[in-house]
Amino acid sequence: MKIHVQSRSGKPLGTLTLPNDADVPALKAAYAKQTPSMYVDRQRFYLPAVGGAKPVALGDRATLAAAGVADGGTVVFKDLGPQISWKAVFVLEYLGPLLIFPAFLLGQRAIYGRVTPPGSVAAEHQVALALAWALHYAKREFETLCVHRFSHATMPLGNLAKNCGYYWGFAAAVAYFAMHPLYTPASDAAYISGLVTFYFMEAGNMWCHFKLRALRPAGSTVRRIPMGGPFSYVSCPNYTCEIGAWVAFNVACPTVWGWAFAACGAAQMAVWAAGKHRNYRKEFDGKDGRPLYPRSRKALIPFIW
Amino acid sequence: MARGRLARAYLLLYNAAACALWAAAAARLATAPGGLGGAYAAAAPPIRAAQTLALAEIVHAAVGLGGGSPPLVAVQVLGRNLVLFGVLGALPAVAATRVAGALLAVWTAVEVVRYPYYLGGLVGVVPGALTWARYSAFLPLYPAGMAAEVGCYVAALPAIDAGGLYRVALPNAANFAFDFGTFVRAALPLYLYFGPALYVHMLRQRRRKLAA
Ligand SMILES: NC(=O)c1ccc[n+]([C@@H]2O[C@H](COP(=O)([O-])OP(=O)(O)OC[C@H]3O[C@@H](n4cnc5c(N)ncnc54)[C@H](OP(=O)(O)O)[C@@H]3O)[C@@H](O)[C@H]2O)c1
Repeated sequence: MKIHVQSRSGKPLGTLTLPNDADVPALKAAYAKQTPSMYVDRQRFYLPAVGGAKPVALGDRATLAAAGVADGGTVVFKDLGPQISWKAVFVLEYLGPLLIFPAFLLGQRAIYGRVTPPGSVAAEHQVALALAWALHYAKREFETLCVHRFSHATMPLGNLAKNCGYYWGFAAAVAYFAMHPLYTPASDAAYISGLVTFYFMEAGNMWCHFKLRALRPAGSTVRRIPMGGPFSYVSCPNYTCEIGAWVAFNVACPTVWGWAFAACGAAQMAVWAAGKHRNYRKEFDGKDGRPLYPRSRKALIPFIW
Repeated sequence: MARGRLARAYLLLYNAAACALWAAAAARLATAPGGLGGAYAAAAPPIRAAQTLALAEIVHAAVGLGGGSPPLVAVQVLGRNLVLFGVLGALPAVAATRVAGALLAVWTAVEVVRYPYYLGGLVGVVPGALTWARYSAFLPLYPAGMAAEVGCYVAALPAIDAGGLYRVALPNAANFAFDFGTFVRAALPLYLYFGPALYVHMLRQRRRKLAA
């Protein structure tokens, strides 16, 4: 069949000849062949907008016919801009926090002009807290490189600066005060219970990530219903654990900037959890042989939300 | 925009109150003993009341009652209130300077046109001259206001540093420190960027509104 491609402003961008049962990835491949600068990951296609309605994006799973594009039909092309590998973004954005905390601790004399009194409670806490923070990001680097099976290969290049700014900026703000020679340590009870809970939550988070890995055969983008353990209660227990870990860290290491970082992360993960939860329930609706998503499961907070 | 009758009645009341307060400010400014240097002492009460009331405009923008993007309205209202309450309210010597008086005069000149324009829009009578004034007065007033605002901060910096205004020093249990003087020095260059950007935005609006 023949498909006309046009830009969002209606400019014709060529006509592609495709097999009748072609799907969206085949359309993208054909367009990349016609216009090599627009590699597949840069492309997104929409159905032409009718009236003032929002244009509908074509998902990768649908065939063109099923999505409503007939022979001689038109699709709208959007250039997503230059792309960078998802993995590269993660590796770089986590590298900052991984190095920043130890740098503030080891560089105290250069940064603050003095060091925390050796042998003090504060000095002892600071070593353990810098280690906890760095281990968190070392774990994330490991998971990015060896555990996660991402379904998207790339993201827009502009995200790199945004993500790095967020993670590096917060890490520097928290580290500046947490590693300060005038740092006021938490009480023993808060420090110990906070750190223990932090590592417990980290372990839970990692367990979830291995569980998600096992759901997806290598090289595929299959999505299944996660089962067992904390997944029985919430759709995104990895986020629940991540938020728990940051709350615990702030109990052990009280700083205003640390709480602000935890709040921003929690807000972001709440938005994502709501979206994932909705998608799970929509995708696994129990019809036409599809499994039914467990109805009692919540999004992020067991039994509540 | 379709609005409920209650929302319309509320906006009428709100804008009428703002008109009255800024008119009172204008009257007090015109008769202020001591000229610009005495402006704050004379006109601060109605201006402080009006700017407290203006906090509601952030809520209006957020719930879609008034026009404007919520973050932009918030920056404008809170930016003004920081100078008004945070600097002039805290440092009487700075409030008595001519640049502080100029700032209040510029704000008042802007608002005695803007709120009647809104009020007129609500009751459906906007004289052409009012529309013209609303979208022309800013041409000189906006840069003048910006300059006066920066001038107030610059005039206040020595006192902010010497008195440690709003300073939070380590050590404390929240492990937090803040230095208002440093904050001001870091924020002032933002005026150079956002000032012209906003001016261009308003010029574009002016062209659209006055063409209609
Ligand atoms: N501000 C913060 O501190 C912050 C914010 C966000 C995340 N994080 C941390 O980073 C971790 C990873 O974040 P994320 O948003 O990428 O987590 P995620 O979406 O839950 O996914 C982790 C991995 O599992 C895959 N996956 C998810 N659900 C699946 C399913 N039903 N079947 C098969 N595979 C599935 C994902 O693939 P897809 O590529 O298909 O999604 C992804 O590769 C979080 O768990 C958290 O620890 C921290």
